[in-house]
Amino acid sequence: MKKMNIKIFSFLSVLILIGIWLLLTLSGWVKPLFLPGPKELYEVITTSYKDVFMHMGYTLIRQLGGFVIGSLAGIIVGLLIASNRYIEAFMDPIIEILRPIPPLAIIPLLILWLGIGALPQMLLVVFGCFVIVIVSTVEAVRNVPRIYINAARTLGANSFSVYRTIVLPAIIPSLVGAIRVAAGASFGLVVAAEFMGAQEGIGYYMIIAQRYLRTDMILLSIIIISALAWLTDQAIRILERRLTRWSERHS
Amino acid sequence: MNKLEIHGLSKVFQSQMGPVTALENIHFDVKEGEFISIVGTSGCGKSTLLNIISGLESHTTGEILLDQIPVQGPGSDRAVVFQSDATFPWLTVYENIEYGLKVKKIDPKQRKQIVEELLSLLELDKFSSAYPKELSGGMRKRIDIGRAYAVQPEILLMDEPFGALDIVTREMMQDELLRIWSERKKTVIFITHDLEEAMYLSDRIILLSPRPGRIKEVIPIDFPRPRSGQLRESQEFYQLRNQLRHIMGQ
Ligand SMILES: Nc1ncnc2c1ncn2[C@@H]1O[C@H](COP(=O)(O)OP(=O)(O)OP(=O)(O)O)[C@@H](O)[C@H]1O
Ligand SMILES: [Mg+2]
Repeated sequence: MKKMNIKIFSFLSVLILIGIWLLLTLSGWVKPLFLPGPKELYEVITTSYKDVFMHMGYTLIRQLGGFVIGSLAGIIVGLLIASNRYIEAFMDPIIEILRPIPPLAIIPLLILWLGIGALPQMLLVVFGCFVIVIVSTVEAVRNVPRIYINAARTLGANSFSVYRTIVLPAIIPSLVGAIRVAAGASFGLVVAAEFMGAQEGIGYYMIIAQRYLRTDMILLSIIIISALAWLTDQAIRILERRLTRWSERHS
Repeated sequence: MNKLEIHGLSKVFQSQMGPVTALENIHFDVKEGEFISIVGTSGCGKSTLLNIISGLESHTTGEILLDQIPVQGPGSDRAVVFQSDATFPWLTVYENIEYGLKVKKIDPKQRKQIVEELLSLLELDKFSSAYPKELSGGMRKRIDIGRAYAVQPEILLMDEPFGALDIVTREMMQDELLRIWSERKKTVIFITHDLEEAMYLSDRIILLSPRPGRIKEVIPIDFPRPRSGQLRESQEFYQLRNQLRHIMGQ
């Protein structure tokens, strides 16, 4: 009952937002040039959905590719670092140098090195996801409670078994959390990269739309990319619940 | 025959404020199948001693012989039940108890048999597929005990296993432990700061004095077994407790 009540509040906030949008646009207080109304939105959907989906497709491939490669690399390198003191000592300064760099700040460099195209855009996403995931992975391994490791060792586990049977499962909740953050960031990064230099992709499409004052196209792009980001997040949340049924968080 | 022998053991920690002698000249034997308790005030080095025996902690001088062989590093011949919660939260009750057997690569059929026997011995069969977070503290402690029993250690080390439980649950767990122990004789070293708990469970009590931890007294406990709750209320029990408390306070 209580949960239901709370849900109603969330629903209400969405309704109010849509209401404000309808009020502002239908009343004519805000011109369609600045904020398209439902009619304009419907029109642009019917006329340009093919274009939008095509560009979205390009974007998704880069985003997904960059996210998967960056996250996987982050996990693997993170696990390597946390498994060995020498690797850790070697990698630590490198990570400390990379960590504070705002990913967007390397766009000019990437364009200078690699021109405009899919590769630099994907690399930007790889970089962003890599840094997020590697830092969380190393942190998560360090935070595995000592007592689990000690218990495993007194039950006969060697270091390799401890790593496989204790460290890996224990860090899964933090890892999935980090992957969720990385997935969220990857959408922003890929669009930003396309703003700066691309010949296709939703970011490119939005820049063109801006040049021709097509606010309706921009709004449609925003809606689609947000929907995709939201869906991705939901998918990871479902995965998270599956993987961490045992953890205290879901009781 | 002595199961465990400890000779001239000492432990000095290097802390920021200089060296701290946690244990000094510890010397005792434990016989096969014996239930021995180590009692002392907080900070007198009980956990340090147990961690050294388990191999999780190094020692400064002396030697520890298990079946006449010096122990080196941790191993499943000296399974430990820790004071704090050590059940693996990502494994079910069944998988927790199975853990050490899997690590040792015992074949699945034998594994199943050992785990199922322990589950019913510990009255956990109904919860075998539950995760630890769904269980009470007392039940989680039973998982820890089952997990340690499963690997069939030469000696079972217990560090204040019931310290976090309320008095009623604690006494229940003591009876439970005695029941399991009488069914499967195991050499046990049990750490506690609760005198009555030590008297109720043990064949012998080793009293430690604090700073540095030294053996103050070794007291045989001759109450007949099997022991039950009545013993706790008997005159002899009461007298012995007062006597021990007096020694501890000195
Ligand atoms: N890693 C360490 N470094 C420095 N000193 C330590 C370390 N571990 C323990 N000590 C010291 O050794 C002494 C014994 O500690 P220990 O944990 O063995 O006591 P204990 O008898 O188990 O106490 P409690 O009943 O509170 O668990 C304490 O004075 C403690 O401060
Ligand atoms: Mg202790």
